[in-house]
Amino acid sequence: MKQPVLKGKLSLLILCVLFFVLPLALNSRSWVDLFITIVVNMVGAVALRLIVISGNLSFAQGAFMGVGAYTAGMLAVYLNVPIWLSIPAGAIMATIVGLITGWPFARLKSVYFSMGTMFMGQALMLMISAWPLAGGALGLQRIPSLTSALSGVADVLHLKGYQACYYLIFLLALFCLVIMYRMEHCRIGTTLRALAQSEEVAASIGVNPTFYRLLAVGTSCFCMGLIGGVQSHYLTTISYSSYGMNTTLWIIMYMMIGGTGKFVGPLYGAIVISIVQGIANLLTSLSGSSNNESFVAFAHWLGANSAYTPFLTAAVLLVVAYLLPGGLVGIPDTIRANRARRAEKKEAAEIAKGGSK
Amino acid sequence: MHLLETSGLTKRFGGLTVMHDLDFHIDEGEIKGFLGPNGAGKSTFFNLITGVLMPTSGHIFYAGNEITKAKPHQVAKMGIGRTFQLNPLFGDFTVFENVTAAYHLRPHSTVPQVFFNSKVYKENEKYIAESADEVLEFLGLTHVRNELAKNLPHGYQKILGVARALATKPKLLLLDEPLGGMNPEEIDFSIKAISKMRDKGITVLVVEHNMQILDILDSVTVISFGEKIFEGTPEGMRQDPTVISTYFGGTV
Repeated sequence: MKQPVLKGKLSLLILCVLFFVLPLALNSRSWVDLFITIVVNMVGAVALRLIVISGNLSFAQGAFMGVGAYTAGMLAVYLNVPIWLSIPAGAIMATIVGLITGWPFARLKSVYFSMGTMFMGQALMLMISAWPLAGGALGLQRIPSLTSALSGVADVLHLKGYQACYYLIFLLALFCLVIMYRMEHCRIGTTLRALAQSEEVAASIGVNPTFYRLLAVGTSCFCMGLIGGVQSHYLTTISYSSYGMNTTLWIIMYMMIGGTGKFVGPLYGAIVISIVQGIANLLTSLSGSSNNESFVAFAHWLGANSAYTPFLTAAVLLVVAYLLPGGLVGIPDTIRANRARRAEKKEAAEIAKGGSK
Repeated sequence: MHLLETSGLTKRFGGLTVMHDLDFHIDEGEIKGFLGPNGAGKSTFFNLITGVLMPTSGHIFYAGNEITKAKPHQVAKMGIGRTFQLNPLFGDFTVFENVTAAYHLRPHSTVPQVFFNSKVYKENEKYIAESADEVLEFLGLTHVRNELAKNLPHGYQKILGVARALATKPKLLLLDEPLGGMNPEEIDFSIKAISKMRDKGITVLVVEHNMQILDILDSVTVISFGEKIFEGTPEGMRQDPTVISTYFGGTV
């Protein structure tokens, strides 16, 4: 029983070291940008999984990231709030919005919860798109940049501007991940899982279902808001369309492909899919200067924002659901289960043969 | 003062009256039976007491406090534990985890205490692990301690439901058909276990079809179509003409 626990922690430690060392070694902006994307996606996927543990699938994760991003951005643009205040303010705003909207949704179950959160997420982003102060359809521009805010620190540490930004995002992400890891691996996690299995029985042992559901939703929204806030300062221009349904669906993809069974699942999912997305985007940008027609067509077909993306992602999800029900982290279990099933079949066949003799 | 008392308890679903003007009470230290034919409203009664359903009219008092409008988790907090006829457990947890999860209230660790792994939380968890093993031993589940609950045979699942309810440290325990679907050995064992709960100071209210339970009951309430038709001792019930005609069918 002890060994898997150790193993899980070891892989987390290795991941942590890799994400600390590699951006330092890979001394180029595009690489560090990829790492930033991965880290942001990791937080998104793990934050979603926290809600999934309690038995619900939220479709509003992207929107909460947007609430954090717009809150931080608008505070900084209009009220000159320093970055150190605007980012936490984004997280707190996302938490508040999450709790207020989550309170009625905490009574809904499974598919109804998903539908409710989906429409609410869409509505939130539509409201932002229609709000002139938030920049409307053009998006919010000229957000004070994280790079210049960190330039002093970067000079002292002999880091490039984008590397300093990465490390701040990395630290905030680590903070979120540690909170969620702890929540899952103590009695709170047990209670959330119990709630997912049977709300009726959980209430009979004294669990307040609404409180625990909101605890999961609130923590999840806090993390989304924090990471969204810091991202808005890094990008300096944000648009409501980057926090819509597409983002939410990608977050769900990271989580499902990685596997929801273990904490590390969504982390692996975010890494693998973000890298694939990165390659696709790279191909798309390369195809702009290429004369090879078939290559251009292929790159456009593959590109993360191409019209075929929904079909590709659907195909990938179906394959994962059919062949790897436990996701990437579930592969060993899937193989073991398949082996056991084959052995059982063989045994049954032999018994049948013996019986016929 | 009675431990649990209902007065004029009525529940209607649309035009259907499943519980009509029921006056009921159970005293501290009793094992009381709540009997009746299928569809008499027994499970509805449990759901009304534990706040799963709201009564149409009438009142419920527990230890002198009105709990008519309390929610399920509030009722559990006040010391009423219960089992379920169907869907009695957390299937993906092991037997041991099912029981430890039930120590949600007593001892209680607040969310910050749990999150920051405080001394109180650690001590509570240590106590819970020991106490859960005691509960498992009391109900003879020690040998399946690490099995997944969903893989257990039906009889064991029922006993595990009782173990989980016991782990909430209830003053009043509501058992919904604890003997349903059990083999004779399991029935004997469970009946003994229920009678031992009285010695632990737990008041037990039991809904059951199996008449072997009558041997350990102190008193009985019989209902039919949501109305009380008998209140008294098990011996009295066996000879009561109304009970015989409605419950056992026909005359003797």
